[in-house]
Amino acid sequence: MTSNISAGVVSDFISEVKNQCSSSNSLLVKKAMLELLGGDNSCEGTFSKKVLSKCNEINCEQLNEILTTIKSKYDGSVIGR
Amino acid sequence: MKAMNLLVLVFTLFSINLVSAETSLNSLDERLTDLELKSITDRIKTDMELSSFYGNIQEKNSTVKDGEATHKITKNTFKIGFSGEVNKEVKLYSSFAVNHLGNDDFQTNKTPSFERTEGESGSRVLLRSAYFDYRPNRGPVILTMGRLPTTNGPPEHMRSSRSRQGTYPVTNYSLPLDGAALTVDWHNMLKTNFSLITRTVYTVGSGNYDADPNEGTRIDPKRPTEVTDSSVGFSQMLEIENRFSKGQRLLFIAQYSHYDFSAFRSAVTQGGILESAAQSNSTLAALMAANGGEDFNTYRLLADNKDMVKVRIATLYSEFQNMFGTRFDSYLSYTRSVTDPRANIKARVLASNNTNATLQALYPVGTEINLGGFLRSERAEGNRYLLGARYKFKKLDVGLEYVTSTGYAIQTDLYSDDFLHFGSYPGDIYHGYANYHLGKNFTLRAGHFSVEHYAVTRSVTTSDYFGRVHASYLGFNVSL
Repeated sequence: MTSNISAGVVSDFISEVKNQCSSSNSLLVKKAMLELLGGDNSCEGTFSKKVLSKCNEINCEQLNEILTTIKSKYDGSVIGR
Repeated sequence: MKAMNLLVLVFTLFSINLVSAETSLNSLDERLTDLELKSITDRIKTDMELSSFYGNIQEKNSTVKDGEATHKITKNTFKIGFSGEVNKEVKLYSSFAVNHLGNDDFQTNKTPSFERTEGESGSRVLLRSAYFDYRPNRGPVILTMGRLPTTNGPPEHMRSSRSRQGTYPVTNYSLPLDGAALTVDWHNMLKTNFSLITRTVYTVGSGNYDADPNEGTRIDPKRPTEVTDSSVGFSQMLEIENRFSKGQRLLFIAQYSHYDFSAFRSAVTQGGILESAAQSNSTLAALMAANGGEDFNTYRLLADNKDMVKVRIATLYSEFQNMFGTRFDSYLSYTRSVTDPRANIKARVLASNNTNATLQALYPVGTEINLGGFLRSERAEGNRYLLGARYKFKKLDVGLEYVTSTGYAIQTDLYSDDFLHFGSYPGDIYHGYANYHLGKNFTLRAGHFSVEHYAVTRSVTTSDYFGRVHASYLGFNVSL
């Protein structure tokens, strides 16, 4: 199942995106996260576009995957995470 | 005078800017305070998921219906989960599921059989998980207790294009288990640049109904005070996860599980007993054919020892996403199981419902049929290999899986959301699937299974039996 968002998800998402693209701006990544969570998983939003334009390491599907995987860490599907 | 006017103008503009900045700051502060209050008052988080399958299963050389059978299947599952932070060190999780399986033979189980798998074949709400995680001082050790999330594990999420749904790989074990676990996160202690987790899980439970523990037939009528022990299990997991450049992600799990299952005092099952016996008895097979190929009797299963079976299961599982920066994912699993039966199991006829008069005369109410040991009469060993790959287009994931077995591997995916449970069939299984993402958390699914098996499991025993199964399905999954 999906999970609601906690502070850990936000910080992990920023950390993971920065891990892939060190030049990413934290506020931009947060805004992109808001767009993805709001339903725009095709990265057509202003901030998702900006994050991806400055990061050739990942594409839109991978950005969504990172968010999905991190969210699942906090949804209680796995013991002790 | 001009200079004075200019000074007044500058001062006025400056004052307006100050007022404007203060208003903006107040507005920002108010919004932040609202957000903080909201995050504190939203103590319980809720999530939901609805999934459905529609399809049919064709059996060639089936054990029922004169060797060939087609079943139309619908399967609807609804799950709801709640979670929340009790404090900075304790988190509480729970999830419930209701699952309705229907086909052209039945709509739902009239008589419950095994409580813990009932969620897969009935309409009742089942508690999938209810547990807490306690992480003292936000350190590396996490204590978990309650009904643990030990169902729907990897690679079920790969073939359904979701995030990971459970702790144990379904190729190792999948049932809702009550118990305690100790997880150690070694990442910070060893300063590794990848996630390294070990997990020790102790589980306890029994196959009896919680609602009527006093009922049923005791194992040994000569010792009526003796009751069945609880089934006990230990599982040790090692989990490594790493992310590389270009979105690459590698997950590796090694798990060894050791279960001592106690015997059921009584378990009621519908049919399946004479079908198994007919596979090695041509006279009975002819009588079964005259009975429409199915066994309509109701049986009570009895065991002559408190310990029913000892099971050891070892699994190596890995998944590699976005391999080498491509859109390919792969997942592999190897499982070896050893099953040591400790009890002889009998089926007693509770209700004689077969239409054939000779069958009725041969198996009247009270007749006991010897089934031998759990799974097989002797120690059973088996291996199961799974190889899966998928390619992700922009909105479409297309995958292929191959499963093959040797020997008599125990069925591990007892609790699974799959249309067909892989572990039910010793033999070769091919599964092709496509998942189309209509939008965020809304996926359409389609797939086809092709199975060639050399044995079948009916009730609690596995018999040698060659057959083919083809299954196709359409479905959807929507979650919030």
